[in-house]
Amino acid sequence: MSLRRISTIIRRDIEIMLNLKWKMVETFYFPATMTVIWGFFILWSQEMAFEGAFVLLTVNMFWSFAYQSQSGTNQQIMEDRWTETFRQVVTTPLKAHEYLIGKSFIGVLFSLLSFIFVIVIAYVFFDYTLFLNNWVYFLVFVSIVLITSTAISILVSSLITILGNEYAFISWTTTQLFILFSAPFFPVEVYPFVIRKISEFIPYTWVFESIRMLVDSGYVLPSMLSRGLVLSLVFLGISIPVYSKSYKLARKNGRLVKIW
Amino acid sequence: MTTAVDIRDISKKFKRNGKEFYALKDISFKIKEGEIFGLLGPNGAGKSTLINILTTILLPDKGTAKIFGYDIIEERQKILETINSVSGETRFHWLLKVKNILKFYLDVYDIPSEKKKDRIEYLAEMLEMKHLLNRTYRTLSTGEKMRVTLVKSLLNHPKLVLYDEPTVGLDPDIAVKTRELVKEINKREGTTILLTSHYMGEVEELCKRIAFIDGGRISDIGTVKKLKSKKFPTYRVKIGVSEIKNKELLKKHGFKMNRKTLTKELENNEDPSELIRFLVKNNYDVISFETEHPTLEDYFLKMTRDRK
Ligand SMILES: Nc1ncnc2c1ncn2[C@@H]1O[C@H](COP(=O)(O)OP(=O)(O)OP(=O)(O)O)[C@@H](O)[C@H]1O
Ligand SMILES: [Mg+2]
Repeated sequence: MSLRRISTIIRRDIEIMLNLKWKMVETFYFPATMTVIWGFFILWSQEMAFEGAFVLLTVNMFWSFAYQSQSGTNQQIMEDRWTETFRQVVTTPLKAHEYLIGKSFIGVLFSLLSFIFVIVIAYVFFDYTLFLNNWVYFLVFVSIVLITSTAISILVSSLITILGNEYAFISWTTTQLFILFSAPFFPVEVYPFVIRKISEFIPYTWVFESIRMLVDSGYVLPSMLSRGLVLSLVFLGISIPVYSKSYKLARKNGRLVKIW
Repeated sequence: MTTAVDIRDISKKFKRNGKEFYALKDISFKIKEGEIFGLLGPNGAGKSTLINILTTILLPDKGTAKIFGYDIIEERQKILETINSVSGETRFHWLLKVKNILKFYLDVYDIPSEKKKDRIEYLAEMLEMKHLLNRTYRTLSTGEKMRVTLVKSLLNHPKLVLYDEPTVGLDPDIAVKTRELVKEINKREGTTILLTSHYMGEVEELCKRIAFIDGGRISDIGTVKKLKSKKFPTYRVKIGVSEIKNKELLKKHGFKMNRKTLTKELENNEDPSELIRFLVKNNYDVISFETEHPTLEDYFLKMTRDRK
């Protein structure tokens, strides 16, 4: 593994990101406006003594964080394919895992910036202080979201590598799907048995469950956090060999040549 | 002399409309170090497939190849450090500055920083693209993009470069310069080059040896000269004379006549000066003389038409 190769890919991608105008819109504008919308909702609901609004705002912040980091890392990994420059990259000594590390780093970096921006907005405009007293919990939430998003992005890009670019829609449909299964706005118990069982294996679920618990009772069961963290690491642990495998398969079935 | 590329028994199948077919079938040949080797063949023959296999982005179903002793399947990393490749379809990210694109590849190839600048300057100078270094990739014309691609293909001092139709879309001036660069690099750095092209003039100018590939099989391989003379055992001599005097005599000696031009087919090993001596002896004023040898294009056409 070469740090030089990893850092060069990071530098290149930052140059690209800074030039992609819509990227900035996506990273900052959408999460910020969402926060403002829910922030006003809080102001209104507080008058009506509706504590649950805090859950809504927090959940929403993490929901857009999860969305942003997953679709961001995904785009990061897929960018070379959309621009038909992937072939150039895979014919250099850059190794698959160096590529993934570089790509995930950027994905994580921009998601974090976006999340910090959102927290600051919520704090400045709506006196949102939940994170101040509970920053350890927040750190764990953030880690779970970032690890999971990275893992899902790697899995999705592996799938597209095997199936071909015509399956690119997988990349934006999965995000939605995972968020559906992780039940952001209501407890998992609302779901029918089968969906609930699936939900329990999705790390995001435990972030949202924890947030509800935190707002409700002021603390979070460590077992929930560890469950989420372990699951997210399992996702990551699966995603990397799957990527290598998909890569090899694509070299065999000729997809890699056609992906560019 | 070292063997640069040693291809052994490579086969590759793909599916077309649900049915498998051989894109390559039992391909074996060798390229020596320092050679510029051409791969010719009609569309869909399997040229790019072979290049892709050597570039390690496609795995053969059977057989393998060694590049400077490294196995393309077992020693992929070594191969990627040793070679470079370019195709007519090569692109880079449209938002990046040319300079930064090239720097990226230098880093990826782990070129020491102190040598980085020199290499870019040297290649940019040679391909007359120094003025492009500060431009954004998307603003370049086709030929300018191609020049960036060519510079990229040489950044890591590759021992072997695989060019898949490198001059597609280039204007004649740039195409000539590209060929010159390829020759120059080949000479100066001893770089071995494997090239596919549909421009026969280009192949004829650059390559001493070629392989003709058709339907995934090698149907001919050897020096351009040998292959041509195998397909065309004769060449044509055209002689202009001031006046035609003795038709019978000329006919008897195998000349064809068209106004004041005499033509005759000679075996490749026959000397045309005999003809001149014969005409002069018979009191002809020879006013022009030319020989017509079949070109690589003639060869290509004959190869593809004979097959049908
Ligand atoms: N990745 C792939 N998947 C499926 N079929 C492929 C793939 N690559 C090539 N083929 C098929 O294999 C055959 C050989 O293709 P190839 O690209 O090697 O031809 P070529 O000699 O380079 O032709 P051209 O002169 O048009 O570039 C073609 O029929 C092509 O459709
Ligand atoms: Mg081709």
